[in-house]
This record gives sequence, C-alpha cells and structure tokens, in this order.
Amino acid sequence: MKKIALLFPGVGSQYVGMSKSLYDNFPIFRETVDQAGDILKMDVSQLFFSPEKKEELNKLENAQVVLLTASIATYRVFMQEIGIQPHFCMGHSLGEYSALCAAGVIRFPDALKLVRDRALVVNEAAARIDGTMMWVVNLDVEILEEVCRDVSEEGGEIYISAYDSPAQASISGVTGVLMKAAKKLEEKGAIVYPLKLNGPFHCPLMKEASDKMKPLLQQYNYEKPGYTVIANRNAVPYKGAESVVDNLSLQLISPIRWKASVDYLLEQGTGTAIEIGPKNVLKFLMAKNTDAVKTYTTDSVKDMETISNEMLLDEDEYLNVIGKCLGAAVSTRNRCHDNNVYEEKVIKPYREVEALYNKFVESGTPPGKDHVKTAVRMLHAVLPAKEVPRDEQEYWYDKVVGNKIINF
Amino acid sequence: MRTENSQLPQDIIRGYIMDNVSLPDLDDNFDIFDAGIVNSLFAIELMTFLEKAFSIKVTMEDLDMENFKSVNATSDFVLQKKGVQSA
Repeated sequence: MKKIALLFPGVGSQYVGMSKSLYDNFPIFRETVDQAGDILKMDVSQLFFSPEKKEELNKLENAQVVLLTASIATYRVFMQEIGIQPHFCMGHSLGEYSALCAAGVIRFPDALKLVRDRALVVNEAAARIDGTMMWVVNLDVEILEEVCRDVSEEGGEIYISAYDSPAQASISGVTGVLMKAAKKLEEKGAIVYPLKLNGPFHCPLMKEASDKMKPLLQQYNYEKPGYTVIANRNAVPYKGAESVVDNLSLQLISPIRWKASVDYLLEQGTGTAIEIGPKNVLKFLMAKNTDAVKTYTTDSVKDMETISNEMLLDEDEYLNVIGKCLGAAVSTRNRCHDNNVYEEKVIKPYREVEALYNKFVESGTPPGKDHVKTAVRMLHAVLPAKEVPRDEQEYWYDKVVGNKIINF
Repeated sequence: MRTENSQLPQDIIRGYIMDNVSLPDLDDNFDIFDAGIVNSLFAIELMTFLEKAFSIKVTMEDLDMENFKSVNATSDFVLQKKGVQSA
C-alpha cells in the first residue's frame, strides 16, 4: 500500500472566498472558523469572504491566522467525510503549524495564538530591514547557490530561503542586493519573480524574530505526534513534542527544505498527497518535484468528492474485494510445512470467509464494511501463515483493493 | 508577423492557455487573471512557455501582469519583445 501525506499550504494561498462551498456545506468547517474567532476575539469569517477585507486578509497577521483556520477546518471536514489516516503531515512555512496541529502536537487554540504572535515578531524584525523575497524559477539550484555566493562575497546579504523543487527556489535578502542578484540570475536564464512580502523571511536576517519566537513557543505544552510530521528546516521527522520549540524557532532563520521533504516522502513510499487548505500551490510544487505522487486539492465540495470517488472503496465493490481476498489466499504458494498450523491459521479462516462470500452470493444481499474488513484481515493472517515472502504479500494486499482505500 | 511554423502568436498562446486551464472557449481579450482562473504560478508557467516558444527572455521589468492578462495582451508583449530583441 502506497503511503499518504497531507500537505498544508503557507502564506500566499489565502484568497477572498476561499473554501466557500466547504463553509456552506459542512457545519464543522463553520464551527472551526467561529472557534478561531472566539479565541482571537476577531471576525475571522469576514476575512475569509468579505471582498472589502481583501487588503486586511493579506496582512501577514491575518493571513497566517486565516490560513491556519482554513487548513484545520478543511482537515476536520476531510477526517469526517473521507477519514483516511495519513502516514505523513508537512506544511510549507506557516503550514508547518497547521501540520503539527492536524497531527495533534499543538492544540488548535494554542496554534492560533502562536501564529498571531509569529506574525508580530516577524513584522517587527522585518520593519528594521529593507528586505524582501523573490522566486527564482527555471534555474538549477547549484547555479543559484553559486550566484548567491558571488554576490555575498561582494558584501551583500542574500540567502536561499526555500528549496522548492530542482528548478525553483526563493531567495531572501536586502532589497538592493536581491535586485543586483536578479540581473545575474536572469543572465543565467532564470525567471525572477519578486514576491510581495515585506521582509526577508527564512534567512539569518530574521534572527531577532527567531530569538523572540523561542520563549513564546516555550509557553505551551505539546503532545506526541499522531502522524509523522516532517520539519521544514531539516526535512527530518519530528522526534516528539520536544522538537517543537527548536524546529519552529529555527524555521524562521532556515531555508525551507521542501524538495528534500518531498524526497523523504518518496523514499518512504508515498504515492498520494492531499493538499489540506485553499488553492493548489503544493500540488503544483509536487508536480515540479516528481510524477510518482498524485496530489489532490481540497478547496471545495467538488474536490472532496473527487477524493472520495478516486480513493475510497465503493460499497458496490465490497463483494468483489471479498472474492479477491479468497482468490489471493488460495493462489499463493504454501511454504508452511506444519499441518496443524496450516489447518488452524490458513484453512479455518479461509473457510469462514468463503462461507460468508457464498452466503452473500446466494442471498443477493450486499456485504457491509465489516465483512470486507473480515476478509482483508483473513488475507493479512493467511499470507504470513503460508510464509509468503513479504514483497509478494504486499503485492496481494495492493491487488485486492486496487488503488482504493477502505476507511474502517 | 508569423513564427517559424506559420501559426499566429495568438493561436499558439491561446492553445497553451486552453491546454492548461480547463476552458471550453477563450476570447482573446478575456482577462484570465482578473477572472481568477489563473494565479501567479500559472503566470510563471506561461512565461516559461513564452521564452521557449518564441525564443525571448522575460525579465523582471516585464512582470507587469498587464502584459499577460489576455491572449491579445500576451501576443502584443511577445511581438514587442521579438521586435526589440531582433532589432
């Protein structure tokens, strides 16, 4: 079974009217937005949907709060409607807070206060520097590093602030220095795209913000992650609650290692990703990194339906899956030579599911989710008992449900 | 002015946009950014395509979204670039 990752977007993915159909159709989405409003004592839903608030929405302190809220509201809808347990969570910059919140590490009310404070310390530090960020696209990162090194040696402060894909990165630094670097990068073939950000984020120029963030992070208690969360600053999974303070404070002065994080997902056998929140920036970046991971978006009811249709096993397919489990159980070679074990752990459970299957075929009544569960469990017990090699077992487990998931 | 394969720039640009955003029909003056159909990620994809398809270089001075807001605007931009670069 290919593994599943949830991806949480960062600042830039907010827009007026985001996830409106989820808000309209799922009470849990609305409740999450209201909950955020109560905790922060502000009208969060206005920021989501009011065209007059567009400028307000794009202010860092609001954008961060709204995106965290949108992602967690969407995550709750996803869990309620789709209910697939992910193997990994990771988020881009601010999205790391959403990922930690979804994985149960940070409580939602605490996360809201933390991202509001994060915007304040970041804005405060940024106000002292004339700095910004730019995307550098269509240029190998090695060449970008070389240009940054050359410009730094001439005395300018410039850093790579995100490694997004093999040919897309962002740079942060003092505005004049970035403009100088941009010319050189364009000569090398890059498209340089200034980001409308008021500070040089994710680089050492943010040291003051990082230092201030640390004690703020220390105020809260964190839980052990329910799913593996991958940290931006080093593309390494969180070890436990104790990683939070360091990872999130150092995140502010470290480049986002998104490409390396995607590489980690690939090494671990991830085949599906779901972007939890508005827009499709992370789906876009995934496609720039690999075609081995199919990414879904969750910005609307329609998106959720697509995930449900493509990922979840339909009730119509239940009987078929039970049949396939029986087929897989008999068509694998037996390597177990203890007759008693074979009788007890292979024949008996097989016969039980066979009887179940015949009953449904004869009566014409459809099996339920529990019956599929029984058949799949039987297969997961029978193949090891027949001493079928591990990789062959995996082959059969995948084959019986196709590329679908049964959310028990 | 015609490109190597004698297609008009408008046709090439319209074809690219329609291939990448699911639109059944596209008026050459329709503002795709204003309509919210595409975003800055698409703008960069479009610029990358233009660089290759028309052998031009898009620089920071060109990043005004007015240049890319519609098929006609993009086409004018390309023609102007080609004029400047071949001059």
